[in-house]
Amino acid sequence: MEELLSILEEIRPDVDFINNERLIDDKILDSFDIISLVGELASHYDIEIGVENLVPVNFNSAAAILELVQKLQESY
Amino acid sequence: MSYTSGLFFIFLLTLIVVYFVVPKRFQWIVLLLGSYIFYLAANPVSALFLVVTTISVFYCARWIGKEEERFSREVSANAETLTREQKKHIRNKSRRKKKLILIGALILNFGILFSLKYFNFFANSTTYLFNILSIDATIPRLDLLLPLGISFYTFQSTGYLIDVFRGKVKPDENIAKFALFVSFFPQIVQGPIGRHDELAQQLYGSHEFDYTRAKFGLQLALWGLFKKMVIADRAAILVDEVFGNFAAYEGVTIFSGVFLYCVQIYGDFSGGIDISRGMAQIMGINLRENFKQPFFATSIADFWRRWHISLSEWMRDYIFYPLSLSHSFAALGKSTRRVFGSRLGKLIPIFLAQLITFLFVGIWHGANWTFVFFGLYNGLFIILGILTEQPLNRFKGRHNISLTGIGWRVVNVLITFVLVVIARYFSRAPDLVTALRMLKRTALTFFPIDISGGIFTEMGLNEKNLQLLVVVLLVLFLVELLQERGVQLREKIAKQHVLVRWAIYFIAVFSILIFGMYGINYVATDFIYMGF
Amino acid sequence: MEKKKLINTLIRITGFLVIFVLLSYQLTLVFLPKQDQFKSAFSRNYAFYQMPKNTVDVLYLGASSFIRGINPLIIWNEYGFTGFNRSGSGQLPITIYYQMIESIEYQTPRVVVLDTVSMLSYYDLDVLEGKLRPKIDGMKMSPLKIDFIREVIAKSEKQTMFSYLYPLLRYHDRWDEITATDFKINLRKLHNDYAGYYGVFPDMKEIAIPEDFMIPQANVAELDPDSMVYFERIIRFCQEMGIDVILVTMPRDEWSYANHNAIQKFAERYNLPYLDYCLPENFVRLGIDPKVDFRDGNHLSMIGAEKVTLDLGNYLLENYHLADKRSMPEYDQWHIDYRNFMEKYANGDYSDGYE
Repeated sequence: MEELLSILEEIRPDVDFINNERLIDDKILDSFDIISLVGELASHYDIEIGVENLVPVNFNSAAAILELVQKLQESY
Repeated sequence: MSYTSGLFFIFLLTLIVVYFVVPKRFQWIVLLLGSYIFYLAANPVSALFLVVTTISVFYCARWIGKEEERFSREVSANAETLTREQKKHIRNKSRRKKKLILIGALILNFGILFSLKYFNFFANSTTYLFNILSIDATIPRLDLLLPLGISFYTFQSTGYLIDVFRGKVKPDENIAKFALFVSFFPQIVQGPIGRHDELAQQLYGSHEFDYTRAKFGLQLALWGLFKKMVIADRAAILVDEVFGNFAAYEGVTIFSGVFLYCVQIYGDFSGGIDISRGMAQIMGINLRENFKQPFFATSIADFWRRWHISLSEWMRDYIFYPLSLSHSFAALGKSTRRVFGSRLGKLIPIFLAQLITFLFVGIWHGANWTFVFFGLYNGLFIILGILTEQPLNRFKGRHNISLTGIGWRVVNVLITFVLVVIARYFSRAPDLVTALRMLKRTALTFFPIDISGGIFTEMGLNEKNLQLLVVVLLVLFLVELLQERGVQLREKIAKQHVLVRWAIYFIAVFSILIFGMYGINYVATDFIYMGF
Repeated sequence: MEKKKLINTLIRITGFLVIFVLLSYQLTLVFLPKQDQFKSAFSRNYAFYQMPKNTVDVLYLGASSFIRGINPLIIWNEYGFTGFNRSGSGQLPITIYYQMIESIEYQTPRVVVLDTVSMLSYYDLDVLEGKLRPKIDGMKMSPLKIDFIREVIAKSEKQTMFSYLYPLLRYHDRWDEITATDFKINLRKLHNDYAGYYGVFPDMKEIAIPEDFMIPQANVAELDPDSMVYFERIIRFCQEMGIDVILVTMPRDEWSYANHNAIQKFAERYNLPYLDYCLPENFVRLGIDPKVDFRDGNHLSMIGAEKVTLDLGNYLLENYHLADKRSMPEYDQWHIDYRNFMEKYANGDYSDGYE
């Protein structure tokens, strides 16, 4: 989680990722943030995030993002 | 059948009655038949293209689905014996096969769209290029008929196919039901472009008649008719005059004319969408919103989240994301980060993807260089918006301007408004040269020397009609303002006393009947007896 | 939906529709133009519908020269039989036909007098929509009117059934010229008091009869085939109903012997009498005076109309069995109407025959 939070904070230092659970629903992160984030996550964790993963439920909170990362790390 | 014709009204009424009378399991069939009747009434021959798209996308989706099943079976049968690497290898092979199927279907369907819609544009431009290079050759123009709604149903079906490829939705099992998904008549003329996971179940499922829901749908459709027939068609008179004869007018008039063009397309497009959504709502089907008070946008990026939403979201999900998340763009990002530094470097691939996406948005609108320019213009301002975001925030911080205060918001809205109007010079002018000439004239002669005669008289609308136009624009602004603040107008009306409600309904209906721009123009002298 | 709610909903919907129909009716009355063509068409039609059934002996059907030339009240006073002039300025052959058929639902005339002027021209129903429309709007709704509209639509490109059934669709963009008059005048309450005759007007203009007017010659003009279809339908209809038909041309300087020959040929084909008042011998016999008998080249003044009306009335009396009803009490209204006309004429009370 620490790793993830530092990535998130680098992209959007103004957002409280620890407490906020409506990042997408409240339009706090926009499509550009998502792209930058996905690029960072893909290269950092060596995973492939396809467009089909770009749904609100996967990105609404830091916890959700971590879950997505872990799921993709286990898949093939 | 035009939405504003009596024939369509009869068609719709009959369809709705039949829809709620038949047994629930046949309701989708009623919609399918109705949609094909509607389509054949427009042009029977072009229905062939609709059928080709339906069949090709349906079977390719099934094929992809079958390949996915085969792949799952292969892996689970050998789950113990295969290593992660081996599983990855099999998956990639399967994915490549699915991708080939997908690409084949996309080439077929977009090929049809491109040929029919853009062939002449391509031919003309290439011929022009040949002329410049002194090559003596011409590519002939073809007299091609554009099937009704081809831009919309092609995008809706290919969106579905890509969703199947991505595993987001399961392929449809019933080709007749799928034919309904492709041809559903409230969407076919001008959208909204729907998504299978939102729409299919609604279309194929059964619906009970709900009086309140039907009332709301009717009200929405009425509002749409009002926007179309009273506002858009009235503004059109002035717009046609300005674009047809701009050299005779001063800058402020031209600019106002282009602003009225924005009003016209907004009224016509969103009005048509409201009619579509209203009709669908009566039948219990919820089509996605396509407009969210676009003229309250605070940036060009925000504008495209409020204007033709189904198109910009389609472009985002099926062009922008795939491009910007692709390996090539990721690789590009790595090198630009090296050259331009971390912040700017990682933005460049996004900018490029954005520009390409908006290039597509532009040419989707039409086969003309003006639309290419229109697309790039919008893409450019979005990029500019991103680049200036941080510097602007710092500026605001230094000068103590509240980021969320109303003053700042109004400034943004006004700037965006001007940018949007300028863009529209390009989407309405017949060619680039004319658009640029109009802009030049607007800038150079902005203030009229003499406004004693008023700036809009003698342009096709008499004084009373100009006054009416102002009044209905104010009404539109008011309604949009309420909607922007989250007021649910139809629910609010429903809470009023029956006399108030009915007064509103009658005013709405008779406003459309009386102030709508339709029918044979009343010209008093036509009726004067001239001695025979 | 449960039964009670369903009934409730149906009542509401019905109530809404009823109010909509009432509002539409009232708005249509306001939006119908109050121009002469409309006042004329409505007032004549409604006067005709209100006549006691089966009391009209002769029907006069034609265009402007008829409506200004034949006064049934004068005939009544002089000869004792009744008539109604269902002509109209710019009356198209299709309108003449449908008015003929419609008339039989209200009256049983013995003779129909047909104007010949519109037999020579072609009338485009879209170009002349402005002339056609008031006449149709001025007709009472009936299955026949629907047939009329359907036939018009078939020959038209821009007119629609909807706009005829719901005239607000045609006149809605008059909203910017609505005045108090539009609320004051109810077209459906207008009543022509002169049995369809044009009205009391002083108009008079000296005309010049050309030197070579109506000199006999062998040329035969061409009758317009589209227009003739309607006249033939009228004649066949009258034959079936046992109604006599005569053809009449009112005095006008735009007439020729070639026209006369054409109509004469047509009349002989159907065995119809043809009274051509343009023939020089008739001019002489009636004492037609170009100084006082005309209001313009194609239309008679009141003085001229009286001359021709009396002669036509005499012809009808001598050739057809038309009883003298002047002493029958149920026809008192005709005496009243005649006296009313004469009073207005004497007082110079100029009007189109309705208030």
